[in-house]
Amino acid sequence: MTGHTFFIIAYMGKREYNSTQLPPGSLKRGYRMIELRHVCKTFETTDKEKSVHAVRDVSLTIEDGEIFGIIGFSGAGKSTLVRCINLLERPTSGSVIMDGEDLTKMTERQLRQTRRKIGMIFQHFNLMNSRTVFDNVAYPLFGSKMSKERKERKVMELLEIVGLTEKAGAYPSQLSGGQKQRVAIARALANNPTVLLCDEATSALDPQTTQDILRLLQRLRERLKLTIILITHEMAVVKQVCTRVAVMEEGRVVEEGRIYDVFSNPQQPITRRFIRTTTHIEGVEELLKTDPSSLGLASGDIVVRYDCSGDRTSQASVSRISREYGVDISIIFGNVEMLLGTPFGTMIVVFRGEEKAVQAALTEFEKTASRVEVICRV
Amino acid sequence: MSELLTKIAPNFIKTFPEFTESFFETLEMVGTAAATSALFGIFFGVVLVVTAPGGIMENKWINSILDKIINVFRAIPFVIMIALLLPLTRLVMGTSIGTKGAIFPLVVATVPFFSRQIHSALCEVDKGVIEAAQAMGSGPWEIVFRVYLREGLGGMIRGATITVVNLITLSAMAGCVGGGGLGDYAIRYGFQRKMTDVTIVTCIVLLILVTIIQSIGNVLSAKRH
Repeated sequence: MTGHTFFIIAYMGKREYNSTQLPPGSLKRGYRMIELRHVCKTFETTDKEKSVHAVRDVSLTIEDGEIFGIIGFSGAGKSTLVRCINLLERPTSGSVIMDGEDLTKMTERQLRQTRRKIGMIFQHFNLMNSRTVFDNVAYPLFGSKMSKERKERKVMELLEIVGLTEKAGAYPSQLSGGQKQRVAIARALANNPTVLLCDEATSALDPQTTQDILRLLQRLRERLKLTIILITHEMAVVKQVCTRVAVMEEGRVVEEGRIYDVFSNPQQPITRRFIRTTTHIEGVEELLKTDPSSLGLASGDIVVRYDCSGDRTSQASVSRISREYGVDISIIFGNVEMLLGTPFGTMIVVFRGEEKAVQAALTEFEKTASRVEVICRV
Repeated sequence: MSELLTKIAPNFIKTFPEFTESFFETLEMVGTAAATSALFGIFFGVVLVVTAPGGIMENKWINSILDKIINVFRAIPFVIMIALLLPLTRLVMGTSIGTKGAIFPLVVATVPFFSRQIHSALCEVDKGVIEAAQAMGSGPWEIVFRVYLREGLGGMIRGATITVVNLITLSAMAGCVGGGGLGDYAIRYGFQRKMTDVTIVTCIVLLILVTIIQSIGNVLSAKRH
């Protein structure tokens, strides 16, 4: 979504977006779908010293209808954490509450019943190669009381949702990665789950296919009232579809919040590293430090970073302040991120002019932004 | 045709009734032993996989004991196994000689071998697929029958093909207990009576038999996607 011009910033002001409010089309919030309480997972080895603490004391609440992102570099424990939700990995301690019931206290039989209500898709799709697309989707319907005809209808319905009706008779080896993931999604939805776990579901796909799958997930959330938990190492995925995000590092959740808040005001270094992967602003800041001459700065110039979120007015503030205070303001970098469909703008501008006027202009400038940071004074 | 055969393989034509009898004895021994071994081999192979560390019915004790028993039995040469098993064969089959007496040691020797073949075929089933089945709420039995035995079928057929060919080789030693069969026939006539043509024809027949079995195996396992 980079590459938009700064003109969009003017439009941002018109759109009255409240960061505590979900964008249109979202579901009623506030119902706790899944609650993780102090979940720890330790993989024991014979040598106690070398035991791996994959998840350390994670507590999270995921609400009904959310797309909750869990982001982290590989080895951060995010895959283990998501497996703790449906108890593919049994937590060493802590509890997993879904719909008010503690999964860790269930019998095997109860757990299997509950798992039917939690769909899961994987990075490598995990389809059964000996079964056709149709049979893969029909797999979880085995043992249900549906008649054969109803099962067939159900499978074809699911294949229609993911847009693969014509591939019903094909084998997984005859499908592309994106198609395989669609089959996996259809299979995961067969038992009408309320929750869908996505373990790096787009990591093995190309950018275009990733977009298609993400759009499909968004549509499914609205259509089937799903709660989606999405594990990824790609910030681009998180900012596009997630309502909230948790950042994991060394088995802990180090930062958690609404996607907009996390993105516009990251608290942890690791969160900033992730955000850096989707914008170019850090590169410009780097350039200012190492080779400011390349930007043609003169003595007395003040370089300022300006963050502007959708709920702040920013209409033509640059040209207005420039006129009112008689200072030159030049924009050397501008970027608009779309966070879950809401714009978040960043600019790097240079103030040039008489010192007092520049100070006054800066003070005024701050009022129009959600955050202003003086990067350097030349 | 028969004139030509009489010319190049006179002893084979002379002993033709013994040959046909031996041929069917081989089929009987291999067939019965293969069918019985298949049942036990699949059972033990599945047990090995599901009780392995990280398996769907993890059980350290059963796994390591079964693993060791299989290794021990695979280490004993077949000829010695026949001798060792004599009393047990008499107990189980009612006799320790003849074709019947040969089948029991064949099974005992083949089960561990086939169990390993099944084990390695099932190990090749993608762990991710097992995990997906678990995530869909499948229990261990469902996973065994609907995932392992189905996804691993291609590998299992390849293992079975190797096992049957191996059984044919082993059945040649059944002559030790008067079990008959093509191997016994070739030794008695071809080797002991120096009728080289018998040995050669027997080899050709065995070669054809093995080729047919291998081809059937290839076709069946290739059908699995």
